[in-house]
Amino acid sequence: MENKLVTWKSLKEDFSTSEITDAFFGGLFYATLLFIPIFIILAELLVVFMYLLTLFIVLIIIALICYTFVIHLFWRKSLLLKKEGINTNIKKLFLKESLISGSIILVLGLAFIFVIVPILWV
Amino acid sequence: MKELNSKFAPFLKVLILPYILIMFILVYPIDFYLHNPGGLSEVTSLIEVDYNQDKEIEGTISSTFIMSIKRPTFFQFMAGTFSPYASINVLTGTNLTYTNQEIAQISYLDKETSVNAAVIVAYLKAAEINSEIEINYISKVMVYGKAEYLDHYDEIEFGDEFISFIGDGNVVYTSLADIATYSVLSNSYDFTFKNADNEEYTLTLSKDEDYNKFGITLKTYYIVDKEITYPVFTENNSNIGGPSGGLLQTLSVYNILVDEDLTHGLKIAGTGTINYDGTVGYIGGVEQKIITAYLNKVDLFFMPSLNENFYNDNYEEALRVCEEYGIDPTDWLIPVGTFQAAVDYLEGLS
Repeated sequence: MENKLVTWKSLKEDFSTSEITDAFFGGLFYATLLFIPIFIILAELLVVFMYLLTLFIVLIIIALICYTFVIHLFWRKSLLLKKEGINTNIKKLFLKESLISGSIILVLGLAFIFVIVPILWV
Repeated sequence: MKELNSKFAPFLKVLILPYILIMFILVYPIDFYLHNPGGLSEVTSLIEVDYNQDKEIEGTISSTFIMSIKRPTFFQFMAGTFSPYASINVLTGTNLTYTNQEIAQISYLDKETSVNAAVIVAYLKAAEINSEIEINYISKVMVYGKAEYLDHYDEIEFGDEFISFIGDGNVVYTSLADIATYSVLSNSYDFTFKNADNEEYTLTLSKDEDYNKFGITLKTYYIVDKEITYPVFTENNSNIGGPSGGLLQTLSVYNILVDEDLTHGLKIAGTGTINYDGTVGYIGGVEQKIITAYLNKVDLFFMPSLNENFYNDNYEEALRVCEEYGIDPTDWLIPVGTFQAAVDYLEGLS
């Protein structure tokens, strides 16, 4: 955790806050553009194949995890396009961030399957 | 962001048209409907009765729901053709004129009135053997259908209660039967309704010149008067609409009210609307409901068996579906014409 904070501080030394924010929104925009059709396809398939509900919820969870990975990927790409030869290991930092986001999505997704779905199934 | 824009600009230029095409296929609705298997919904999750709390119910009683998609997108339509269990048909009749939201409102109204009918039938039956049980209900005339030519179309909601109308001779009539009889001399009449917020409103409705009708369908329902009814029951919020869970809702409520456990540890499911006289009514989507029950491994499945007045008999169609999918209907598919027949069958299992 401490190591991660140090890496973030190092990143803030390499880039200004507005550059990091701008790169984040760039990553978010392009990742969303890429994933919107995927999410719509999965949601529509879920409605058609409702008897395979759990399978499709698992697929949506996987897609959400991939989405966060792609956001971080584009975010990193955008930062590297802004400035080359930086000291911070962004790849490692963003990989850790993606894994944390992915784990949270996984836990929430499993809670959805085992808690929310039975409540909605009335 | 602009760095990414310049990096991806060539790709965006090439992919923009296919992207728009894909999005069009994903969102554009077409005038079909799609029926697909859905799932089982345990009735006790929908209707809770505060009675016999110590009674142990070993099995389950569930209604069966299917996924009915009105106006699917192109993509859902194509996906449906790959589903081995889907049935796809063109939207016809009133379904074609109603929006998806209106169809959902009708479906919700059907579910609400079905729950009331189930409680009435189950309580009345249970009251025959247990004097402690008491039920009172009131009749309400409600808006069930609206034609395109209906005046004030958007102001009248499905489920609004008809209160009265000022008929010929300036007399106020409150009976549904009086509308046709006392709306002969003029073309426009004042109707009073009550909305979901219990607010009364009056509108002048005129008969359409071509049809000579007001364009409103009213139906009489019986709604439980909870203040006089014992034991208390609660209807929970539900995402599943339609009236076809009526029979199973009645069975489940009845099973709570009587001492014997009718489930005998079985996973019971079925389908069929319930009428106030305890008869079971026709349902749609037989194929998908049978498959839903089969995929969910239920122990027995109740299916309406109707009389010769009906053009399509649900049970005969169910037998055909069982044959098509290799399901053995013996002691699994149970035809019932009345709620009493279902109770008799379950009591006979012991």
